[in-house]
Amino acid sequence: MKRLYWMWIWMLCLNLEAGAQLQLPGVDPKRPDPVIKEYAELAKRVVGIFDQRAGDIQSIPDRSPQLSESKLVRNIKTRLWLHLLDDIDQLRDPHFNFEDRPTMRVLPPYGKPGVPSSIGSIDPAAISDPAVRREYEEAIRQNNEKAARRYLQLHLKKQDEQYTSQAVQYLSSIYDKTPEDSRELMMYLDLNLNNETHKADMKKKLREFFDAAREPSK
Amino acid sequence: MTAFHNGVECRTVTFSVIEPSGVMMETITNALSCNADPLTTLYNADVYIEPDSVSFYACVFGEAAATAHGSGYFSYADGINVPAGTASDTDGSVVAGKGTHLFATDTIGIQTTGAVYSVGTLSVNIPWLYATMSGSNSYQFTTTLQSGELAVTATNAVLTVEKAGSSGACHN
Repeated sequence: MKRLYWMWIWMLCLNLEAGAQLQLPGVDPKRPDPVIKEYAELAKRVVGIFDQRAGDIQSIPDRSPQLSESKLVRNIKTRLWLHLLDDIDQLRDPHFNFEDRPTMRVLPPYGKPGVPSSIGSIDPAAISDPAVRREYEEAIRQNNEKAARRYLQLHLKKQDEQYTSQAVQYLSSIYDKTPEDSRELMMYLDLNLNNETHKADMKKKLREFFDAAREPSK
Repeated sequence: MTAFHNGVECRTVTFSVIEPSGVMMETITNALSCNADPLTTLYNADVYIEPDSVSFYACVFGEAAATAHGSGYFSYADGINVPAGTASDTDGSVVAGKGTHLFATDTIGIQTTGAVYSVGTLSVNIPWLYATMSGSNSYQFTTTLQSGELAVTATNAVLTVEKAGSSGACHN
């Protein structure tokens, strides 16, 4: 959690660019809720940073002729992949309900006092009854918060799947099918991945790779 | 753009730029909500961005503000402002024959002011905008027509609402 905390502090220090005509998911273009706007902008930055980190890892040469320490490069690259996956894990909400979708338009509470006839959503100020107006404003706020949270969780889920697959592919290609390499890799997983489910999933995939070495040749 | 695999430069990849061209909506099953008094038609729709030959995964979409036009029963609503909607990005899936699926639904509805009902229409042409997640400008690429038609028979009134291929109808 400490890593996550510092990431958020660092993000807050950045000069966050305000959206133009079309805002981020969940951000009301006319009257953006400052908390949701900040959350949505941070979410966008976090997703972008994870993509950038994955791209940077992939751009590191594995066995450059100029480097005698090719095993050291392999170990560094392994830990970079696992740190990235662990950071994504920490931001993911395992109980997030992806079926609970936001809407692009929150319609006013039809039939309640002070709600004018409309086609689609309306400006809450058009509702004359203060209690009903507050109810509508709260419904809009909840929908926007849902949109902003869903944006982050959906992208983290996709990044988790994509980068886990790429990491497994990389590790399978760079480690030798020996008991020593297998032990070393499992140790890295134990040390760097905190999510037990994710760790077990990666171990299973990598064991399949190492076990394939022991199958008798036909 | 140059692609790398395990640190090795693979090849140069050339991309073609394809912009969004249209919006298609599909009524979600069992998402129709009716109210008899005042007569109201309300439903949710899935939204797809055309064409279906490309994924607009990294784009965000939204509706801009527009002015409604009413006639007959809905004359009182002629000229009312429909504010901009909440922006949505996509869930990344592309459905053949439809397009890239937005993760937000659209809630579509019209509420009348109640009896006495008479024939009338209410419509609005809503501009659709897109922006890339890394860009600061948004661009209009199409408009969608949302329309409502109030029909009156000897026994009841029927309010039919349509938008970009989706529709719902309720009666009192």
